[in-house]
Amino acid sequence: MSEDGTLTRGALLKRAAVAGVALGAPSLLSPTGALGSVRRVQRVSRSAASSITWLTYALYSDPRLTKAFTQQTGISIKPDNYGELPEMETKLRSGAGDDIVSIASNLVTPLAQEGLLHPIDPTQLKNWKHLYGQFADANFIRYKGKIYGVPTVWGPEGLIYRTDKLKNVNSWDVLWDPKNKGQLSVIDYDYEMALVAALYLGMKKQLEGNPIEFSTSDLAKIKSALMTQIKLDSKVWSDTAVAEALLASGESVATIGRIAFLKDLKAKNVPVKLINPKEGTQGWVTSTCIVAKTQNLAGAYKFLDYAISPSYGVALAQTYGYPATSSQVMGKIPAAQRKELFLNDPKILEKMYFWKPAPQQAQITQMWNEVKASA
Amino acid sequence: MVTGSATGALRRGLSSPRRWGARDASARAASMTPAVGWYVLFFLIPLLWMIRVSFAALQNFHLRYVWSTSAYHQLFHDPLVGELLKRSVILASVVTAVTFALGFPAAWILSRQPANRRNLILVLMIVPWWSSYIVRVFAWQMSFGHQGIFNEFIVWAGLSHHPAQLFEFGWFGVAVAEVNLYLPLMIIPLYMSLERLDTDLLRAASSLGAGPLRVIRKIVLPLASPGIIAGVIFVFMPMTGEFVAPNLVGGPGQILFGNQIQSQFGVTYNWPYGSSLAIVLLLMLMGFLVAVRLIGGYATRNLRQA
Amino acid sequence: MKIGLASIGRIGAQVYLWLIVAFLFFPALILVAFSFNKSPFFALPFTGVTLHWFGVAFRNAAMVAALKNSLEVAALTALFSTSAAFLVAVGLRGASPRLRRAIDLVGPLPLLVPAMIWSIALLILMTRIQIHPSVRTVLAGHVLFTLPFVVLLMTTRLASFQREWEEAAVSLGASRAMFIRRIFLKHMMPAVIAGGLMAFTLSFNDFVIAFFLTGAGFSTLPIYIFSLVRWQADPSISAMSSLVFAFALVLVIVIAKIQGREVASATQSMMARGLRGGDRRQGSSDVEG
Repeated sequence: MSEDGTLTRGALLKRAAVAGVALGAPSLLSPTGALGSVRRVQRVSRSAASSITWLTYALYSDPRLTKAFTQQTGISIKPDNYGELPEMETKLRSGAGDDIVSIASNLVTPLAQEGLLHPIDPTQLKNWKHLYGQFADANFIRYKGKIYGVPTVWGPEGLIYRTDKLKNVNSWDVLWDPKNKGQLSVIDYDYEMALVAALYLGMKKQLEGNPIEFSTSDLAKIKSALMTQIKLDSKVWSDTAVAEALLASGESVATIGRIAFLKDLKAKNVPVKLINPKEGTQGWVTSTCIVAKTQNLAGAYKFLDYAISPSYGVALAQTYGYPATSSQVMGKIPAAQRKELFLNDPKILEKMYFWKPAPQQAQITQMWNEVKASA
Repeated sequence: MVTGSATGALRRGLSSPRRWGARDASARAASMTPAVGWYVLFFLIPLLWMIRVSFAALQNFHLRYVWSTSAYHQLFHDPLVGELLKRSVILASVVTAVTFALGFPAAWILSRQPANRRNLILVLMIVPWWSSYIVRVFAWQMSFGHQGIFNEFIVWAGLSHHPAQLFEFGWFGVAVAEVNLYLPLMIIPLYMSLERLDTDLLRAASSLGAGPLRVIRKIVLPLASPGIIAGVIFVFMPMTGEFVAPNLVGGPGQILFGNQIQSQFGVTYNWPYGSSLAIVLLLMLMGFLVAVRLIGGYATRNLRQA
Repeated sequence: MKIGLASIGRIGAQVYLWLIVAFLFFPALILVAFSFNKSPFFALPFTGVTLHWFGVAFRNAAMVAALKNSLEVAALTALFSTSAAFLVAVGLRGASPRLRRAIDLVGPLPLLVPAMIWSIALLILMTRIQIHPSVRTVLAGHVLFTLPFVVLLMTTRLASFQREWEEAAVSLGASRAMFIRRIFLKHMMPAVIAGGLMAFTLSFNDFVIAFFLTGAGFSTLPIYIFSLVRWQADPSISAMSSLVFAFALVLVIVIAKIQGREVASATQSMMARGLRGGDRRQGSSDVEG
């Protein structure tokens, strides 16, 4: 928070260090055995080499993906996991002691504006040059000419549907089709659903800008469209597990789709297809950023470089099926898997409308709550 | 009767003001300090701070510590607020009533069990709590829905040709899940107060000619009232702030006041507004608490005297 | 005729009680069943039995660490909360009705404010005064959250405490400290045990408070599960939860066995049963109302 600028960074860092040591201090319950040795190892590595704390989704900090980093540099990664973006923001604003943070593309600029992120010098990252142009030159990682995030992984939020229940779907209007009443579901994310409605209504110009500006009449049209749509839904979901279950059981014949769903559903022989509707597809980009109050800047830079290197990116793609932002990484993924990852067509990036900040966010949240209340 | 007079003798012989209870006021205060101190440090002061934040303002996405009533202004002019508050209160009332209806007989029967079985069953009631709240809610999420466990079961068992509307994602599912989550919180305080109800007393009363209704009114209810009040409080109040289970087990329409508060502390970053919503809920709940105590006290006194 | 009805009534009562227990167990049974399910979703149908997910859960060091953290915080919460609540009961012996009423009014306040709200308030304040989230801050929030429950259990139990017992003990030469330790504690023991279990359970289960008050690499199990399920459909989560559940079952049964003995000896060492006839006159002194 900006008013914290009045307190010295030194005092804050000192307290963060003390808190870090206090965490390692012996507790009343001293664990023995295997669990205890896990804790002891963590303590040793913190004092011997150094460590960086990473505020991110549990999936990105999966030890299988990060252990190569520790092997290469001797720096250990301490994950601080969040489940939802609001949780991440609260932690960031309260200064929970993290060094790096994974942030969706629509939040990098606003959080940089709040002074929560450390500017990044791309010349210090040897893998920066391999990033696709759409990412390296993107306006959503920049604020006042400086770069605040390294795009690391991205994903389309398209339309996924059961091919055995619906035929030749190529448009968002399948979600508004009254024939599908009770057999649809959507994601419980106000911003994303506003964009889905905007795409359906053809508001391309608004979506191309950075930030994404909706006028009052735009918002009214979006709200009306969403209120019509919500009455056709049997569920709004926030979890991958639920979305996949809805599709697998056939309770939903169409819903908002992610690449991650494809992998799981195909493995289960559920006939689905993920498409880029003709009106356009939105997508997210997760950038790895440095927290302004970090106490390990050098380690943070090393990790940023690692995050866009094949060591991390290929493992992430193979384990979880997410496409990378670097051509070098994508090149190292086996061709068969690249096809499955929906990305053999590099032009696809040009049809994407990536998430960007929306100044009307408060109104969008209010609107979505009203839409749900009307269901 | 012999022991009755022994009691009387003991009382007469020993009543002296300081023979029981804490030694003096300072011993009493010392004993309360850990709990009271905790409240002041970690509850009262942050709460006062939150009141302060509710009078702050959001300017250009930054929290500015000015003094402004803009948050409250927004609150009183937003029709959604009243609607969601109403829904939360209704759901909380329904869940409280159902947990009481199910829990009172259970607590009664439990308190009449022999000691060993009593402990076993108490244990069995507490153990399900030990599975993480989130995963229990997920289990209910799996149970409801068009093709959830319940609907799959009734179709498979031939009880119905198609899935039942009742078992879809909706208010019924949310209510069932919440009752399941809160039932132990109603049963345990009821049990604690019913446990000390002496069956001999009841038998004596009925053998002296009191009908079952009179026994309930004059003996059971007054003695059980601390437990009833505790159970109602334990269930109703947290229920008004629920937002997780309605979101996961419910359908699109199951949005409550808690969801609205939560959404202010996320991407929207509208802390003054979120704080004002919370303060309003707090005031409402304090009113409820006072009302429950007044009603409970009145009923207990009247029942005993009549 | 009368005997027949009474037995039916008795059997009916037993059945009802066990039905309630079954209802409370239902979600736990579901997640146990699904942790053995081959299918990688939280959904039907069952495709076969496997132990695969248990292996996945235990190989996940982050999940194991989160579990360990949750146990630690829960144990500390139970300890602090029950001790503080017991001391409140000690202080409330023979207290004026005014003091009791004050406790009854102020005590439940952390339950009034939705936990989400005062945890954020706590976090905002801590940010303002530069205290970082750690084990201690989660503990602060959890003890605060569990204290009202445990204090309420204590005061409910205190309502059946007879002043004669203390007066008699003191007149027989016992010091107050000894009285508290031996007789008062024994009387309060059911509430102490129930309170400790309740505090442990509430702390372990909690995710709203723990989320806002954890940080810097310290995660608890519910938070870890929540963040994982957002992006994965993995029954290893339910496998871990059902193991926790089994462990809890064993632990709680052991504690109940100890409690069972305590309760029995407390009953025996209490004064003659006849003193319980004083129940009827209790209305004037100890029962709140």
